[in-house]
Amino acid sequence: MAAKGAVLGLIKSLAMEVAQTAIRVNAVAPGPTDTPLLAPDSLWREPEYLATLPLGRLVRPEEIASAVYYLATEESMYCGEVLSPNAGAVI
Amino acid sequence: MPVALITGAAQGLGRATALRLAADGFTVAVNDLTDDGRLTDLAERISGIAVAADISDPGAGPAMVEAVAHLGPVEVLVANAAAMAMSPFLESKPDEWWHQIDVNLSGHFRIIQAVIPGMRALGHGRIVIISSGWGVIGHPNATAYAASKAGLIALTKGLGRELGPQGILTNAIAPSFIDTEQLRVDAADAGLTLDEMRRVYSELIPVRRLASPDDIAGAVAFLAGPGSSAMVGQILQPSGGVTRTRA
Repeated sequence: MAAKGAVLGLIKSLAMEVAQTAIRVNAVAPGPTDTPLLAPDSLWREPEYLATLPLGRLVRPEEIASAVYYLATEESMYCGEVLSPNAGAVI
Repeated sequence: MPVALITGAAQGLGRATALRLAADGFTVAVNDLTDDGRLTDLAERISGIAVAADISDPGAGPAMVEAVAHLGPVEVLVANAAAMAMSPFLESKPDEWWHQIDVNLSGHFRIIQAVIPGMRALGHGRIVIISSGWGVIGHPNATAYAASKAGLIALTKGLGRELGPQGILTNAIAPSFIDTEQLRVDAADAGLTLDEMRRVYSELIPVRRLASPDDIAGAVAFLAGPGSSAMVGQILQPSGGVTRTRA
């Protein structure tokens, strides 16, 4: 958690450092996603947890991919942005 | 084709959004305060329809939704219309305060209420709210505007949580300086030429350029499209770094 949190500080600082070049630095902060990283017995797969999410389900890997794709293709005004395809886990 | 309704679409960001969503395959209904010809021209160009109405009128939301009902239920609402008046806070008149709250915040409250039943019947829907970077970080001499736009952020988060379980995804965009017709107003107020105004604003933006209306329309298209199906209650900030690096 601390390491992932620090990434947000890193990208904001780096984004400002290179803002006047054509380089854009942004982040995607996914919510709990249905990948092998979540073990079959993970608490994040439990119905009780999923019921706390506004979308009531795990994020699909392709939904993270589409956020990355969007930032990579229409990025020019994003500078230190954090996109959160997270099913509402953090609003 | 899915139906999108865009408020404040006669010019600037709303117009660019109408063109983009039409290109993305939506049937687009465009609203603005009145139709001086621009709204009808736009509607004709994109094979959509024009629904002029003052959204601060309590009956406007339901009337607009009724007027587009023959096209199908509104699947995407873009809450874009806004009023802005700059003045030092102590000199702000109550009428100016209420007008900005009435249009920017309360007007969209009524329209959102009007589109929800159709979205529920469809089982899905997207509400894209145009907030403002000033609603995130505030701005001197624009307190009413900023407060109304901050209200839209809280509205976005609340609707995200409340309607998300029903498949209706609400997200917002908080842009900063955009190169629209408003720039001419700002330049006239400041006694500057358009290019001088652009330079003044660019100095305030880390990426050193204003957003184009198309940049922001692209963000709307993302939030209206299939790629953002896991985004709910989020505030996108294509502000060139103005808000993300200061907030």
